[in-house]
Amino acid sequence: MIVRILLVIDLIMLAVVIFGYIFSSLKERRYLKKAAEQSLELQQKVYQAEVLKEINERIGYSLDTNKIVEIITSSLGNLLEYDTVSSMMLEDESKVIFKCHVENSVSHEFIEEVKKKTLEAYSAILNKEIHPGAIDESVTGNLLDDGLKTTVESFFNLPVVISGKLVGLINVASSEKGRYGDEQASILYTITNQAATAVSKLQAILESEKGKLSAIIYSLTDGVITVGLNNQLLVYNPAVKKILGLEDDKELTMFDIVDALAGKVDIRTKIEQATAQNKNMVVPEIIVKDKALELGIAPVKNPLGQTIGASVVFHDVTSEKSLEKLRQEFTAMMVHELRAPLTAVRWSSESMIKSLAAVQPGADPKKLKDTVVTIETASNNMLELVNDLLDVAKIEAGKFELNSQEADLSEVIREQSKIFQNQAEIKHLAINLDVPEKYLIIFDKIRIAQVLGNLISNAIKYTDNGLIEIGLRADSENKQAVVAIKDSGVGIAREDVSQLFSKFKQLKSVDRSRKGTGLGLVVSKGIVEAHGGKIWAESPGDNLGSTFYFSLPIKN
Amino acid sequence: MPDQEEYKKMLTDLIQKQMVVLGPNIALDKAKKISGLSVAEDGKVMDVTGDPQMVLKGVANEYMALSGQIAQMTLNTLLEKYPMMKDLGKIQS
Repeated sequence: MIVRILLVIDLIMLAVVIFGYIFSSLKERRYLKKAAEQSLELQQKVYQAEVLKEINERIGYSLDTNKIVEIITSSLGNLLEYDTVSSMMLEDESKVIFKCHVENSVSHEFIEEVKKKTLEAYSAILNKEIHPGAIDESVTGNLLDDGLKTTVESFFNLPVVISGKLVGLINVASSEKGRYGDEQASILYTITNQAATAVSKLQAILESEKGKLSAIIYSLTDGVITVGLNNQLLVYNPAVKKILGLEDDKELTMFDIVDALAGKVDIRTKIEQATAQNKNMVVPEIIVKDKALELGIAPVKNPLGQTIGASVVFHDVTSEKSLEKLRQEFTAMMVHELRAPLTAVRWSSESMIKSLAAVQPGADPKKLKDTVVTIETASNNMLELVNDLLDVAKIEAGKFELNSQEADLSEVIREQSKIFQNQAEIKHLAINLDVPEKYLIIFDKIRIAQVLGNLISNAIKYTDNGLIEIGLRADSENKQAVVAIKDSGVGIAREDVSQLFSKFKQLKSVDRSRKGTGLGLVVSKGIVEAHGGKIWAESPGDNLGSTFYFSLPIKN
Repeated sequence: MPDQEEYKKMLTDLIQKQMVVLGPNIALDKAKKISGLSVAEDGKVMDVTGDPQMVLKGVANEYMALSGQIAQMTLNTLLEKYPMMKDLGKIQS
């Protein structure tokens, strides 16, 4: 009995040991299986990453979709077996580019079938029938053998989508049934999608940069065009049409530009010279439709340093030329203005020398005095002119300094009108004042007196009858003191009003019979603006008088 | 609300289109992964069990996961044909 009990115990223990062994063995097997699966998965991921890296390195910064599809296609051999790998790209609605690499010999029929299936897939994606007029076809790799009678038994397509657009379709085909499973294809789809995403991002960055560049070119006031090596127009901005006087709503062609420049410059030859000699060229000055243009031509190179075209900049130098002309006229006028008093000084001096040589006791001293007065007047005129020029130079150099302090503006106006009273009376003009008894503000008394002097003197100079009215009022809203000098004189043409205070432009409206350089207004503007004020003029038109205003800020 | 037969028709159209676009092996493998769907080798849906809307979404999601933009392009075509499939347009790849 005891023996039996012991035997049962032994058997139970043996069963426990065997069960324990089986259990631990199963557990170990499960663990090993899981580890093997994880290892395989890891290996696949590493391999996938390596292939992707290789594809990315080969694509580099290329945005050539043909090249990208070609690189992905040629990298597939690393991942799976196939008989043919092909790519199809649609250049336009009618032209299809089909490239096929034959890894293992197949028949012509096989290739035709691949082509048909790829075209069907393309049509299905685009949801329209594609009727290729011509297929640009190339088959590389192993020789075709029609004796093999092979047919496409398994295949899959890899669409390549860049920036949301289908750029190509890759077909992998085999004569073996069931060659491609879901797992293999998924890896390829992942790789293709990742490569396409990387290129899409690069394209988006470049498009954004291109957009910025286009915006810059578009907003330039100079006309800019870029042409290819065969003189086709690649890029142009709206300023080109404006500068060349071409229709704005029409698409610009190189022929339009050549026509617009005909007889002035042979632009095509100049571009060819610049690209052939690889140097920048300048066409100094040509007149096209009343505009003076300067052309700059520069070769355009790709990152490898190869010349791929040229850019031409059309710079409108009309205003520069007109300013230059005005400068010359200004110099001529200054010379003229200085020459007149200098002639008077010389003539008076000569006359005085003669008089002194012939002086006799009891001779009339009045004649001698008149001559000296003429010299003094001429010298004063010259000094005034030179002072104006110096003031303008200081204003333009930003070195104009004020000595501002609180003073009575009404008093300065009264003083200045008194100074010009005699001059006005000679022309039978009255000067009426409408100013407060006292008006204290901070300003440079001497300089504002100079402004008033200029404006009153001009009012008298350009008025032959009537009166001069001088007013002062406070613009409390804008915290400004506004002085107005109104005359009943020749007035100013509407188009000349805005140019009165310009150093050069002012010249055109100067009435030569009334003398003066017009610099007084330029100096006055500088003085008023240095105070933080404004100066302006209004006139209803010719012979209707004019009013000159200036304002000075009222500071606490 | 489409009935069972309409769902089968839609699913058949979707799978057969993907068979042309991606290739028959892969398109069928993906469809066969979806439980409640029975598909013949030519892509014809033989039977749908359970919620047909969920089956449809499951199939569409499989294709979206494989090639999102292409699947979206083909789905858009199907949406034009079957406007009641509008929920498919919201499927996230």
